[in-house]
Amino acid sequence: MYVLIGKPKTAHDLNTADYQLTKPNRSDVPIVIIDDQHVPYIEDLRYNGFNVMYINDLDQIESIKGFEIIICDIKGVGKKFKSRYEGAHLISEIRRVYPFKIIVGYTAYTFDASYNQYLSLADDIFKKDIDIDDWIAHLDNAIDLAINPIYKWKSIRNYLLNNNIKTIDLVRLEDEYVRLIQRKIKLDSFPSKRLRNDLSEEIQFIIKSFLNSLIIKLIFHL
Amino acid sequence: MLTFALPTIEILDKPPQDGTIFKCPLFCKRHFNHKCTEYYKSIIDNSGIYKCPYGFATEIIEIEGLKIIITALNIEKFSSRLDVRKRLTKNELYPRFKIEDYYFIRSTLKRALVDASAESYPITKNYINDMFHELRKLNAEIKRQGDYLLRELKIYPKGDRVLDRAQNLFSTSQLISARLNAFDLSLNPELPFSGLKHKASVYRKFEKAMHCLSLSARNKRINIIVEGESHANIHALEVFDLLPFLIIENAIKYSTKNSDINIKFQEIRNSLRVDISNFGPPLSKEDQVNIFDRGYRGIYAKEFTPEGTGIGLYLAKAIADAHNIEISSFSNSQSISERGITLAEFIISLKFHNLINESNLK
Repeated sequence: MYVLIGKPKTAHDLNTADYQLTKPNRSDVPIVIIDDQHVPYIEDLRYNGFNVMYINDLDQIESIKGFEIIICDIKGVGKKFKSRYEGAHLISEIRRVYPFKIIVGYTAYTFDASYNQYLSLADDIFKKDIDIDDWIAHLDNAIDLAINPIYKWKSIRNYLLNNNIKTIDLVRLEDEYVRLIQRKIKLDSFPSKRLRNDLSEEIQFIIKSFLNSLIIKLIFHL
Repeated sequence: MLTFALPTIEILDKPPQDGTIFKCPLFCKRHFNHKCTEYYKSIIDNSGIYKCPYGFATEIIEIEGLKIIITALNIEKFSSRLDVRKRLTKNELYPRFKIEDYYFIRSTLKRALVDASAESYPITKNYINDMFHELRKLNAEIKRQGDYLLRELKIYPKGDRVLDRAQNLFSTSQLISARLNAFDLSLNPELPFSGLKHKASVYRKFEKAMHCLSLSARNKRINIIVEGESHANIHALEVFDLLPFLIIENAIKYSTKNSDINIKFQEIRNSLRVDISNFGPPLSKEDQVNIFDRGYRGIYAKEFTPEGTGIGLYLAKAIADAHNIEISSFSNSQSISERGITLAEFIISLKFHNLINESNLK
């Protein structure tokens, strides 16, 4: 039986907290665009400081491990996976393997509702024919999402829930996470040894892979 | 939904529907009753040709697992000549088919149905999907070239006229995007309203919409005047971009030539009010209630121009609602008549209450 004394902190307490995180430079966050055709503005994006690379398809999902933000076309990519939803299916595969990365759907198919279930797995969606200002705004937004501690927590929370974490352990984890950020303490001591002892190996592995992501290291100076 | 050349029954307790070539006899529509429903229920499971209680013939066919009831037929040896003749009005031209002629019509129909249900539909859908993909891609390229051209003309000026043309090219490409976005929204409203909200400057979104519509405004010699300024940001879905576009486009459509559209920004404490006004068809009392309804066009608006589908302000309201923006419309009670058309000042007002506070990131 557990007894919690006091009110546990929730991620929403970070909305009003007086804390400051380091915002990385655009060039610190590796971005990959997956498109079978020429990507307009790629040079302009680099000129504007984004660390952006372009590949025309994926043979295996693991080849994008080093990128924090993945921008994926919906048409003409993911051919190896043999789904008629092509890139939309690829998004779901990337989400399955890398649940904490920021994935952006890049498409002309937003009129077709049959793609919705795949596109809903992406963190953001943008249209194929946006101009350079919108490209920049979307990439900045994707970086903002990647470093938003509330958004990051929500992504791991949902993943942990899908992996059958006990509700009480989730509450304790969230409380610790929020308190460390509010006190400006590095996350290398997260979760605490006492809490870690109560977690299954699988849950510990998920948290470890979350903390290992480049973006977490960047913003929390791990 | 598939359409047929001959009358068919779609729902067993509802009268037959007209075919695209042969209409259903009035008798079958007017006198449809429980006897007819029982008859159709008794034959639906087995393919074949039957005679109905009133003398017409019916055929049950199965295509791709789908039962189709072709009915109210006048076929030799299957329909009762006397009964059918008695039940057709004088003006109804309803030929009596020889069975081989009927089979010929039906086989053509069957082929068309198989094509439509099994093959043509996916091809058509894929074709449309590919076409839109291509269209967006090509438009992206036009936009990119237009953007580069504008930038280069600022470094190496070639005169106002060339700059104007480049600006028009770029604006038209933005307009194509906006049109496609509105089309996407009306076809698949779920996705645009389920996305993530980003920080967006209201003033900049209006500026962009004005750029996009600058050519349309110029073609009608309409002057868009902006009063006030705002640095207010809101959390907005991508679809928010369409809101200023739809309202300004509506104002251009319903403005007289050589007139002004005024866009006024007013920040009051933690809220922002944007009024978009033009001189055009006034609102009647009925319009006031229905102007944001899908497909609705005001009485004076229809008089003013046949163009318009009544979708623009409906979509604008849906976008405003998704962002907790109050949207209202009103027109000045004093109207004038110009060349037989009634005109008055028309205003769309937007009130933004949820403006963004500063972030916690340095």
